[in-house]
Amino acid sequence: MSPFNPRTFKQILRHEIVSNSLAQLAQQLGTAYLIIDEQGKSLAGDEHLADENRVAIGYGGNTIGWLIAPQHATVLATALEGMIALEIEKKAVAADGVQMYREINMLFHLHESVEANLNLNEVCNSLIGEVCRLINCEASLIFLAESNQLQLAAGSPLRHRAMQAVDAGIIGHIYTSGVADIFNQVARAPCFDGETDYPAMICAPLKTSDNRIGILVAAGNGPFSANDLKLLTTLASHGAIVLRNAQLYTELHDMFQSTVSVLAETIEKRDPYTAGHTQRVTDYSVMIALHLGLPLTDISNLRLSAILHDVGKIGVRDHILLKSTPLEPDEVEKMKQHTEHGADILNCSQLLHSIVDGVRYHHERFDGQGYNHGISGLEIPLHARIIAVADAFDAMTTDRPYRRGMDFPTAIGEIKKGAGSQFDPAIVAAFLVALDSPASPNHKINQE
Amino acid sequence: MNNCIVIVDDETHIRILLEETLEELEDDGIEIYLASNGEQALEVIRRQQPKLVFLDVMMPILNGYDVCEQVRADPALAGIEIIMLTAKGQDQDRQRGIAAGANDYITKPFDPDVILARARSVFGLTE
Repeated sequence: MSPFNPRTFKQILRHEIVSNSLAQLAQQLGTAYLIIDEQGKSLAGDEHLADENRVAIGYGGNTIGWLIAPQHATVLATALEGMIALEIEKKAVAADGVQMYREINMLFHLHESVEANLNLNEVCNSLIGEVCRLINCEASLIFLAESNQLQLAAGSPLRHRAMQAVDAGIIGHIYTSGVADIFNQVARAPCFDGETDYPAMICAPLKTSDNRIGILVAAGNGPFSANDLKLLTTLASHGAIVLRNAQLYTELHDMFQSTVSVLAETIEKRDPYTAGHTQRVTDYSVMIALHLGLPLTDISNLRLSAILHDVGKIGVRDHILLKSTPLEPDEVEKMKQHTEHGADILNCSQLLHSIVDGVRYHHERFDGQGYNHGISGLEIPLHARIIAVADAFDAMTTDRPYRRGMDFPTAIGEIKKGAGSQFDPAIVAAFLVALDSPASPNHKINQE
Repeated sequence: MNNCIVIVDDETHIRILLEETLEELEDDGIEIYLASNGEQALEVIRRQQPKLVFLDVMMPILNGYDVCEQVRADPALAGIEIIMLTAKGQDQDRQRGIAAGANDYITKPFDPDVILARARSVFGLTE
């Protein structure tokens, strides 16, 4: 039983049902009464009543106050004690209820802050943020399992080893057993192997129905309570699902990226003269997009479009694609079809739909004289207008079998000349600023 | 205005939970009073002149909006902070509450920490 809080007594007497019952009982018994706390402060009844006959009011074997009444003091005190005991039971239930409300809100909050997020680092950071908010601890850490190691994925490594074998130490023990536990004296735990400086920890496994992902830790000076353990376990079981989602999304994203790279590499291998072209066009395009202030998801689509802008060249016969002399008019027409081939290839995948336009229209001209659709101005999708500048600039500055590449200043002059006719002037302007910017050393920008 | 809070809700368990949540403020000399319907609420508010009222919307006899409007119409009760308690997601309730003169609203199931923080700021207490 928790120690009796003096304010509880006052609070109970304030309840009308208690005060009215007591007053009525006293009236029936024909007596006045006064209730005072241990310090002698009046809490209820007739303040001016002479202190001639007092009876202790007890709870849990302790005196919590006194009832003063000329007659029937014992009856009144006994009745009051009964009501106090009931009220205290009610309070215990209420305290549980408040705790449950806290947990409901915790889950709601966690849901809002991490559920929609598929970025692994952000999910980890939200999760440790929630641990620190809800549990009175110094730090929270997340370890993720990776090839037989538990690797610190979020939280500070200052007081805990950043890497631990999956079968060693406290976190290894929790990982293996799959059961959360409290260690209020870390150094005394049988599985402790000097991995941490924290005197106390709670560790909960991050696991889904078929995957053990890692460990969630709340650490500090402790001591931690059973309720802390319950909270951390709840956070871990919910967090594990979100983390697993983020992991799967990351894997899917990587797989997608490598598929795209495979496609791009295929075309580069067929046409060695354009080696490195794809990468440079991608870099220039991203550089322009950053200067135009496009949103990051948009830039990521543009990047894919740029990587794959020439993928349709797979559909152009070798004797045309690899020809080292100028093309005949019918060969030029076949070559021009590469933007359509590219669009056809990308249209095969639902995932690639958003990047089709950049590929299909990257040879359109701002004045409408380009191919294959002859659209002009802002009719040409933005990504295509960007790739057009990047593509042309790289084509001019690299050597071809039949000519040497221009130097940068000459090529820049050509691009400027093309503003408004071949190119969108706004894109040209952004490109020129981007080329000058210190953020593009060697006219390249770092890839994401 | 007095250093006290009035909790108004016709649902017993909400009253009990709010009272339990706010109970620790009594250590700072803040008194808590309860009312279980709108009529009683007005009576308690007039008697106690609280700084802060947590006011449920859906109540028999006199609902939360009515109570709020009557408090706002009474010059003797000027400056009372009224926080409406509404069910989650009922946007119209909130707008009506604000129109009736409430300072803010909190959705149920309420977050005890938000309730406490709100009350502390009204009384100028730091955690």
